[in-house]
Amino acid sequence: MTAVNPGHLKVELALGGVAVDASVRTRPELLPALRDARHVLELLLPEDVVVDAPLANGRGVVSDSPAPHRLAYEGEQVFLQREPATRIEVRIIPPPQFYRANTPHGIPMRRIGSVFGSFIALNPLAPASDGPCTLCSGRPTEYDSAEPHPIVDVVDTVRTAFAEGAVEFVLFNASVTEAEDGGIAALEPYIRAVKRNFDTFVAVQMHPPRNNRWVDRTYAMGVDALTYSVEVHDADILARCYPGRVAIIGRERYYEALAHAASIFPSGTVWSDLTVGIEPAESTMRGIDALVQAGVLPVVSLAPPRHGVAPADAAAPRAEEVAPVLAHLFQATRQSKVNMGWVRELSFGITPLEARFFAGEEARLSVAQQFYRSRLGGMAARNLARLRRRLRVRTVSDSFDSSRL
Amino acid sequence: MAADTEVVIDTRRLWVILLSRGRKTYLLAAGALLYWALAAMPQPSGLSREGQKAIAAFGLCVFYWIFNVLPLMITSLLAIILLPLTGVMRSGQAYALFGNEAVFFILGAFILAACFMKSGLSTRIALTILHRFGSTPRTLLLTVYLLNSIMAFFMSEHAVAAMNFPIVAEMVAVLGLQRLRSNYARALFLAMAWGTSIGGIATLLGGARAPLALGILREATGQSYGFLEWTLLALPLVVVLMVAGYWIILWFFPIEIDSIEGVEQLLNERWLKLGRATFEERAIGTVMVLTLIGWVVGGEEFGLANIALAAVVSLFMLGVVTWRDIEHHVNWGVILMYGGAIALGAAINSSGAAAWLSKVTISHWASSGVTVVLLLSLISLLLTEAMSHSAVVALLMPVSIGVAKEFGIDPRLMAPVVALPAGLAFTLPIGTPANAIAFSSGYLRMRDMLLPGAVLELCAWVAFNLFAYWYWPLLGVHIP
Repeated sequence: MTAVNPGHLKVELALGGVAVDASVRTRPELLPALRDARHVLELLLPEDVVVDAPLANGRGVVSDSPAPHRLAYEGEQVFLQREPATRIEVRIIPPPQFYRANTPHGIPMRRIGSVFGSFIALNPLAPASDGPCTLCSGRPTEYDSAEPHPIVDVVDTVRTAFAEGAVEFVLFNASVTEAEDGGIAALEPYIRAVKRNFDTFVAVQMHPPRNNRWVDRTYAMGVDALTYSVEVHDADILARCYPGRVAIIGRERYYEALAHAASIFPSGTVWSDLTVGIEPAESTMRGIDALVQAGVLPVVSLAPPRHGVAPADAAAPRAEEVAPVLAHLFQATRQSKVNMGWVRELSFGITPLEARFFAGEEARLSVAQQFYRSRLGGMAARNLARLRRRLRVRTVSDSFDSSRL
Repeated sequence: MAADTEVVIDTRRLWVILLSRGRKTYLLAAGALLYWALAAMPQPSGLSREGQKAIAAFGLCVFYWIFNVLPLMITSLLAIILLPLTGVMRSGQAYALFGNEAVFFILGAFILAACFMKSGLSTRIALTILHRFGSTPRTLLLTVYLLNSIMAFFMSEHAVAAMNFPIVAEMVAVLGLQRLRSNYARALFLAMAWGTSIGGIATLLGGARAPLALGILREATGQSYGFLEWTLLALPLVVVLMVAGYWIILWFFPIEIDSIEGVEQLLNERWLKLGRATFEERAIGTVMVLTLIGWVVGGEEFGLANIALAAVVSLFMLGVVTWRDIEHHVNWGVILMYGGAIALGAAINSSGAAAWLSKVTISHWASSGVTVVLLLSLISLLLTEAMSHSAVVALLMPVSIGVAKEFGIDPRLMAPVVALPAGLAFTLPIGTPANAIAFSSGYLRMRDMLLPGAVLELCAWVAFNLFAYWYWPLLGVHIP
């Protein structure tokens, strides 16, 4: 066994992909993971770092790495092997069993929730087609004809996922919409249902609403973490790659909404993705600085954009190009004192906490961070979050004295 | 959370929020500590043990009423249980006070007012008067002022203000008056608030405080006032205050516009939309008039409460209202408030605590009946700016009855001395619902209420005492 930097390894795997050795393909218990429709393997690396590693012989490869890591199976253990003498013990995270189950209405649970790290990502409303959405291309979105999923189906999917132990948190994706609220109003019934039925944190990923009162309502309805993904900091590149965003929402609105959200959500629970490789590294670093100054946690996304970005702007970065950005990510976040402990275990991105591996920091967590990862710590964190919301959220009717005679 | 509920996120430090949100806990504890201190201190000379416990319960409840720690009616429930549990009063006696006649009188009055509003008759009357008389800026202002005042003769102040506020707000909007800059807008909203407050003291129907005062008086002495008798005591004061208030408003807020053309059109449209009076409106109006006549003519013989409830029953017999129509319009908390306050007052009096309290409070500063009236009216006037009117009455009536006995004053005198000033809150938005509603318009700044209101309060105090000294003897109510 060789000591390895899991942060570096995550970047290499995400960008370079992984090849699967014949020894792995002969293991029946590993075959379901290899059949993932995304052509991605979810791997658990040392230090509990999670990564989505594209399969080298699938469509997921985004980097032309001359010698990708190979996944091998030997002696009841799975190893990553880059050179004959370098073997890193990892674990393939199999697709959760609930993917094969159906909801009370007969909908495959796989269609309702997907697992990413410790999150189950839910898109309960009518999902958009695989084509580009309005906010990316500026052209009208083509929606599938599917109806929103019944609340009971969403709740049942979450319950099944939790019972299996596949996830710890819930992440809602709002459908792309041009409505003022950014789609949060439609998600509210689902969020409340999950909060009523489970003792869990709920995160929402969406585009920012047009005004901040919907950000307030997002917090009030029970959302614990929130992301409005900027993706590209450079204004010109953003306008070229995502004309719809610029035209309909506006680049500045993302930052305004994030800053407002950071002022009402707990520190470190409002984050925004910056996708590495679309713009120069220096621009991404400036984006990181802008976010931390607003109290927002930056997350560097390694996943390639699905659509909306021209090939010339989506050249896959090399690991050595990403490393300085990630080092800056950790240092800037630490200096800003934004809490790095809440957003973690994102298989598709590098969080500031994981970026510590690029900043020369010792690979260990603080006592507080370790505590909040424990069962007791998780319970304490959730109760503190509830108390905080109870204290902070007021309704206008509270201001009137209703007992006057 | 309703979809249209406005959410506000308090972004202060959590410890600051905890302190502010912990107010209730701190005050509950402080009240309990006050009770313990009063109950546990060495027994004062001249005060019975039961009286000491009664004072402790009284102090606790007054503390909770003053700071609004619990809803007022819940504090009254606390009073009900404290008295038997501490041995001051038997349980049966305490709970029996919920059946006090004053409770059912005000209940009947509230139901009648609810019928009046539900039928739309009150709105019809308001629009008709405004449409008929409000043709110039000055006459419109005067009409709003008088309309609110006279309606408050017969309906609770809160109901009058709540009903007329949308009309005034719409008129201000039509005229395009600028927020926080228009004197005329300020004048209109202030006229609405002051008219309501002044008119509310004219009869027993304008607020809960007068019937409560009479309930405590009757329980302590067996005496009371008739409907007409009370009105005769109060009405001249109302007239004087209305004149004074009108001139104060014009003095502080000179009218800056020359025409109300848009308002005339608005009122005309609203009036035309009313259509012909319905059977329900006619029936309710008739019953209301007959009820007023009954109170005046037969109030002392048959009882105010009996007449009120008879009117209520007759409306249901006529089928012009249903229970569902009015149950949400009646302030049911009043029953609880009354029961507790009357029980507390009875305990204070029967245990001898009232006499003791009078010796250590008012008697220290007063030397004659005149000074007693001066002091009590001033205290009532000041307290009502920060407290519920009913809470002021509940606080002062037991003590004032003790003071009356100490100075050889007819206890009947104490009811109007306490209850009339308790209805005159002019300076603070929290002083009365009418002020709060007017302030919520956004056209009034705090100082727009403070300074003119202070002037009017001074006028009120002086006028009240002059009437009490010179006019009330003509009605057989003397200050020795």
